[in-house]
Amino acid sequence: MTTTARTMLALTGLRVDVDRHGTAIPLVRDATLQVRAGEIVCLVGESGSGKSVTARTIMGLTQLNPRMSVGGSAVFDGDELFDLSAERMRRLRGRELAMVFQEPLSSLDPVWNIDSQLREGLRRRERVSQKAETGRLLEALAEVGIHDGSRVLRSYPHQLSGGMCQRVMIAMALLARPKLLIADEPTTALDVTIQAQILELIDKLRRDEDMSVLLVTHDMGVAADLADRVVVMYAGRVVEDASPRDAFARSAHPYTRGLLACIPPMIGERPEQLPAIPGTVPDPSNLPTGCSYHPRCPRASERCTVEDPPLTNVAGTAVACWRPGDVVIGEDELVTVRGQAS
Amino acid sequence: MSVTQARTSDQEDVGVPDPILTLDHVSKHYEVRSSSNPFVRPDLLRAVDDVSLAIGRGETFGLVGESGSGKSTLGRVAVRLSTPTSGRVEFDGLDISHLGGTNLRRVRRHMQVVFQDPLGSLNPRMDVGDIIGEPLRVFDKVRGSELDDRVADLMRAVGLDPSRASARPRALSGGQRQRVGIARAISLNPKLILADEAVSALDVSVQAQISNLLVDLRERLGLTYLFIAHGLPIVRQVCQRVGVMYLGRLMEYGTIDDVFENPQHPYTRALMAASPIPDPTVRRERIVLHGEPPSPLDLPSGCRFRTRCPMAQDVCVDVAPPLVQLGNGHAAECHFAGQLEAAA
Repeated sequence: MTTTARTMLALTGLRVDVDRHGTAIPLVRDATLQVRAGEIVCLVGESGSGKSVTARTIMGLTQLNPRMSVGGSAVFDGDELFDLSAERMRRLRGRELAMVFQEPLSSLDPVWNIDSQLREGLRRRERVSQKAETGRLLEALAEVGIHDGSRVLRSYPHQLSGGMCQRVMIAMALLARPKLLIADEPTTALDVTIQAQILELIDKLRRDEDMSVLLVTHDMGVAADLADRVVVMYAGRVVEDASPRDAFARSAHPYTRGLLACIPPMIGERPEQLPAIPGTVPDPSNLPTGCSYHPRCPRASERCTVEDPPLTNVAGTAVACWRPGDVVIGEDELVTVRGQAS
Repeated sequence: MSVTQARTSDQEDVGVPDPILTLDHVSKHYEVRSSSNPFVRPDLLRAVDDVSLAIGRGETFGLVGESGSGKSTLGRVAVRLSTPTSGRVEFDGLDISHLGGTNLRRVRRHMQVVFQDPLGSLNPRMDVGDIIGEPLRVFDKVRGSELDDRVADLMRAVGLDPSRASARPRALSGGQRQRVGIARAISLNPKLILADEAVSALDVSVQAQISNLLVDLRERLGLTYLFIAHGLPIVRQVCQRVGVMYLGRLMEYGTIDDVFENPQHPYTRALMAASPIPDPTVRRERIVLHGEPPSPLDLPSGCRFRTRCPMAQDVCVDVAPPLVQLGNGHAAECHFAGQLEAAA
């Protein structure tokens, strides 16, 4: 991956509000991120951080709800998505832009067999003979590791396992050969051994097809495994955007650090108590003043309670914090600060 | 040690001096009828198939496995939410396998459950105080201001503000709801708590809070947990011993250190290798197991893991593997147990 690769998606100052009894509740506030060609960007955060809303907004799905209002800019391969007509957007979706959702069973239509669902997607893109279509479907299924394709095509979603359905969803997304795949927690509902297979598949397609991927996940392990870039969201904002190496070994934002600290280790000493982050994610209708993380932050100062820190670039990492961690200090100090933080 | 020895000694060498719960060759089978033809003989689904296990007083025993492995069914049989098809369940020296009615109710107050989905397991029409106080009202006939005091104490014990007693579950966060479920579970001073994926649906920061609370309560109240989870890191963190299930069988069990540092079943190894590690500098072979688990209605011959096992040999097709004792209460059900070198 070279950093000079073309930018496939650029979100700038993305804002999504939902109208609740006349008040605008911010679900996403000022989200900024880029995905380059052939790059996997992992969007991580806990529930309520706005990561899924961000993903769905890029696909133009939140906008379908009249109570949602969207601001800011999303440029996809040179086009401003929010200016496109509904018709253009519909054509883009399922062709250049594709999405895979968390719940494969509820994203597939239960009353149609897999054949009709896949064929529909293919037909929207191009018309070929029925026989050629079938060939393409089987090919697409083989690509996602389904080798008894003709049986799967005849099946209905409930006759397939969750892992199988998720492969079908990915095959459907890939039939279009999209430039950007948005995957919203694609493996969260699956067992770890099946998760490993799906992650490998996404990684392989990225390599072979030079596809860009925006992968939404709550699992820092998945992010560490796949990401070329890690973007951490908290309470609707991007709080850190870093290379995986920086994000994991020297997180700049105390929230990223806290998230990593509370994952139990798989090797070495087991701590008596896990260093949990106190409190809970704030309700978007009742956000704290200043930095929304300050009530839970061990490093919070006076300033953090009144002023929301902007996303600032420091040495290749973008961080929204008044007192960011050790981006600028030496490796030795890093260790001590991390020790104190936990 | 010879294979025959290992087989006959599986009951004696469980490594538990003072068991509070003993499962002895427990099975739970379900009949699955064909939806189209009512006259065809129903298939037998072996959700739990001949599992023996003992849990010591005061310990946390983790049960891991993928969906369909039978871990939840085993948990439900252990606390008699479900009746075993065969085998014996012994709780605190009493055979409870087929208890019913009042006798079962009398034992049940000592065994409580915390479920995965806190919203689904809390009555949305009751307020938090009523939910937590219900077992006290039902079992101990506690009423009035004494009940209010007991509920407030329980709420404080699990880190909830007693002023929230009038809130409905929907008004609470996921972590707070799970605290309510835990407060209800400990209200009758139980001896054993079944935590069935109790922290699995929570965000990591909240998962850490709740698992810390569970550990803290175990110490303070002398509880024993049967802790069911699919995430290995959390099991390593809160449990002392662990059992790994696959398709209804207990494939391996032992202390956390033995099983995590020196897994002797290829399935345990695969599970561990497949859990993502939050460290980008660790490069690992991502795919460890191909394919999916076979249908529990149509189990493979011999070893039921052989269809996905990277080490499978001819013997695995023909012969069901013995339970091989490896010392210190560590055992694995594999023809090659004890021959796998220690994990790197």
